[in-house]
Amino acid sequence: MKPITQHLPSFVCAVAANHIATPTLFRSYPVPRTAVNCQIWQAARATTAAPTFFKRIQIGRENAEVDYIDGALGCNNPVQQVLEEAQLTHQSGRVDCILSVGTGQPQTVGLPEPDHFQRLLPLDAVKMLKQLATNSERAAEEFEKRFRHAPGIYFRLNVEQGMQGITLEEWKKLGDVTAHTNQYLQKERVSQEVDHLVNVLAKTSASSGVAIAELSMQPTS
Amino acid sequence: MLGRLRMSTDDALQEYTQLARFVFEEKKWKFQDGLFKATKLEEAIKKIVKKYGGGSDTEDMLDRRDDSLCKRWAIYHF
Repeated sequence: MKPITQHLPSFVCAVAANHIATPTLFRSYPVPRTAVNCQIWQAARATTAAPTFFKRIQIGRENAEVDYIDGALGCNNPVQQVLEEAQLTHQSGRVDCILSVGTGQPQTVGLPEPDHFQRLLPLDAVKMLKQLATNSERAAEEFEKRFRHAPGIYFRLNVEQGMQGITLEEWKKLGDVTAHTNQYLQKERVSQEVDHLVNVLAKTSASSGVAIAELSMQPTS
Repeated sequence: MLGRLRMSTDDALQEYTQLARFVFEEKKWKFQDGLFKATKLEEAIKKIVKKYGGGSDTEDMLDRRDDSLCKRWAIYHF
């Protein structure tokens, strides 16, 4: 496999600890609005600062730093953010393909199990985090509904079986992760979806796609 | 890793498995702001940034190289 030779605009999400309802994006590309810039390692630390795993990180000007924690709490499935970014930089563009790759985890990473951690976090904080995770899951589901009307645009790959018992820190189980992933990819339905996806991504001719504006509407309930 | 650092998937997998072991092998004795050492994670991330990001571990998230295509987005999540 060759390294990527062109700039692939990327972002990672984190949330400011005192403002967890809205995610902060750390981008590799410029946008026409105020944006946080920081070093790569800081962005990586912010997006991985899952409560109960790692301490939060302070980013920003001296004496005016902001505390950031893992963005999974505010945007478990950041597909909505991807579309907002597309609209921000390419207002009149069209979308050919959206690929969402899940981690195989039904729960938010770092969300404490009540029995285990309740004594270590304030109860209302635990409740709030759970509420957020549930809301973001629901939002993602609503969002996905919209793509049923645009077949061949939205793809979702997520290892459905076997990953539930494997938590973030279990590095010894990475072999199991590989095995579960291979098994998932061999499923007839998944294999067909991957073939379809490869065709869409490798296509060189211009496709009609879907207007970004059409996809960026607020989720309907 | 794949986006900002433009790594190959093989390199990303190899670096991740090494990082996971280095960071999660040891739990902190005392639960304080998390079970694992953020300093170890920082050290591991900086090593990867230095190796793949142009020789310095202080590279900015904003990619100023001028070959930006800006046609595709990628977002990653640990």
